[in-house]
Amino acid sequence: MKRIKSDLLFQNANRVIPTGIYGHMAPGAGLPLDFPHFCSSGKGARFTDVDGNEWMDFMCGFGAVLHGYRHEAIEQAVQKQRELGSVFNQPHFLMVELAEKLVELIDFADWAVFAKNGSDLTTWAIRVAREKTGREYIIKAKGAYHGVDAWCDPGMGGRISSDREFVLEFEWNNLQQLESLLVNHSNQVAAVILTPYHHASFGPSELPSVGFWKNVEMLCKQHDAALVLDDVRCGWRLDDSGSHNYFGFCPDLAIYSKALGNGYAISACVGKDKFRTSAADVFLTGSCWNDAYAFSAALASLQISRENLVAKSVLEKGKYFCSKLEEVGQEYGIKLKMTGVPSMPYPWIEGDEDLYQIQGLCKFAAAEGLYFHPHHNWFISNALSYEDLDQALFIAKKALGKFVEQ
Amino acid sequence: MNDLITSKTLPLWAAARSIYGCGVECLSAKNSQSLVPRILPSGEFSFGTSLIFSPKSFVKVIEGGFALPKIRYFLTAPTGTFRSVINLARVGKVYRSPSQIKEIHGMLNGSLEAICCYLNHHLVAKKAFHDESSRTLTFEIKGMQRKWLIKMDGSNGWQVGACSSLDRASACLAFNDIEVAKNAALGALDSWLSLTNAEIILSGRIPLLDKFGYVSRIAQNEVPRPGR
Ligand SMILES: Cc1ncc(COP(=O)(O)O)c(C=O)c1O
Repeated sequence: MKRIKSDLLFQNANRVIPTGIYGHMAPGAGLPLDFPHFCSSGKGARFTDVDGNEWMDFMCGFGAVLHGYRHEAIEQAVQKQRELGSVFNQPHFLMVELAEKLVELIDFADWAVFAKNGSDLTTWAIRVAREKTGREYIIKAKGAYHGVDAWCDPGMGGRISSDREFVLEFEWNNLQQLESLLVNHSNQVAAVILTPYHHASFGPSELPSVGFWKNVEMLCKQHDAALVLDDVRCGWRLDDSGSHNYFGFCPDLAIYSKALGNGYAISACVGKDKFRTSAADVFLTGSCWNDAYAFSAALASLQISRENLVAKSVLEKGKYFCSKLEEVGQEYGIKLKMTGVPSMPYPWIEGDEDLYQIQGLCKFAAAEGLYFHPHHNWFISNALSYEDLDQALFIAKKALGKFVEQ
Repeated sequence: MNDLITSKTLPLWAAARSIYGCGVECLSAKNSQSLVPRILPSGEFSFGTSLIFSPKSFVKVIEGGFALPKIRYFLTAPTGTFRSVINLARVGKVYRSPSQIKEIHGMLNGSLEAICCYLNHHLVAKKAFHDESSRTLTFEIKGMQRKWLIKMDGSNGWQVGACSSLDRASACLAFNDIEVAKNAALGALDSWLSLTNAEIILSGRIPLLDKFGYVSRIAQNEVPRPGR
């Protein structure tokens, strides 16, 4: 793949932006010599980088896009709103419509609030749980990502020792550990915050073991701790009404973002009635949080999800793609396993603890225009047709052949 | 000696280990022995058997590019001290302008030694590497046999050593050529840019390299070097 403008732009970026590109899109987090640094446009399941290379997309803006780039109905809704305005002195009335929609859609939800990022509301939700319980401790799964704030971010800088003083961790699926933490910190745990399944980067995803969620729910009830579902990444990719339905449990609070606005910045937290007063007492606002463009995008996105059964669709497409890709791997003697749920699979090669093989495989895929990420779960865009998937499989086979040859 | 390495003495201890690490690559075994560093209970730093600096004068020596100020040390001059002084000056010259391959290797080895000190003694670094004790890191210069391995060595903590070109570590950092390695060792490389123009290639367990990079930036900030 040609990469001239990308590199030049990166040089400029590096002058005016610390590290050029930060966070999970920083060059070092992926394949800096094989992925583009900057994009220019996208449509459906394809995007173009600044050098004009077209890529078939398996990352969906790291999950922020579910229905495909520039989905027509969503763009139309936003365009309509653009003629009216985005941020005013008081919230736009679409905020109420969206809250009503979420309360109608999500079975346990009695109220909803909005912000811009997942992190805004994962942090706010644990504060609501603290307010409600009057307790300090939060329990999370080890290695789980819940955002950029100091209590949970994966970076190393800017921390002080008290940041995580009240954050406890257990190994995903280890109910005994979770119970010990709750018992050892009896009457001190405000909330257990978990993702629907464990989708950490740099390692295979882990589904909940049989009975895991029912037991977590029970333990939280027993210990009067709020069960907070971080559905930021999975939301609308497992179920059109919240991922708790997919695994059959009921949280107290849940946070959504990413797919909610299909590329327009919005996050939401919904909760049960019993948290309403505490929610009212934990301050919440942001400069552009009452953004009517994002509200309109989210409303359109939710409608598309519902009408087209999008979660079911991406799960089925993912299942088709993952099983075929595993078969291709087998043909070449590569023990590739697509872990997690099929709509957002994490590629794991048996015995490849240190990731050299998956890095090699993704490098060859990138050379053919497939954006396969070596370290993060992929996302299946609903804009991918079965023909697209077959095309991707054909290209992947070519890439794997080259990888094995090398 | 561990008790003597505190957040206050660590930068100078790392500098001392770095000097020794550089000497090991550039000097004969006998000469490099004359640079084995220690921290004394008095808080002074010694090289070899008898060259001793107070922290203040050690900083001066380093920052002055190893141009030893009128040296009192070997007025009482046992030959061991003299040898240490000469070898310190030799390493100082390498630090100022490494040119030969073995000198660049020396600089690199010295930098890795300094970072290992941080891995072993810096509170934040120790915490970051707490879960990584079973993992290893290699550093290599493309096209060259010489490779460096950083691994946990029991009670000795994180250590840098040589490894065979067949060894595959948990993560690998490769310099594209000797010039890049030199600039990296001199702290003159923009690491973010280097990643995108193939001067530096990372592979393997990237989070381990991320942590290592973070610790190396702390060390680079704190450890005195010539000309700073
Ligand atoms: C599970 C999960 N929680 C929280 C967040 C944070 O969301 P944001 O990046 O929008 O702040 C993310 C983002 O990737 C996520 O995947």
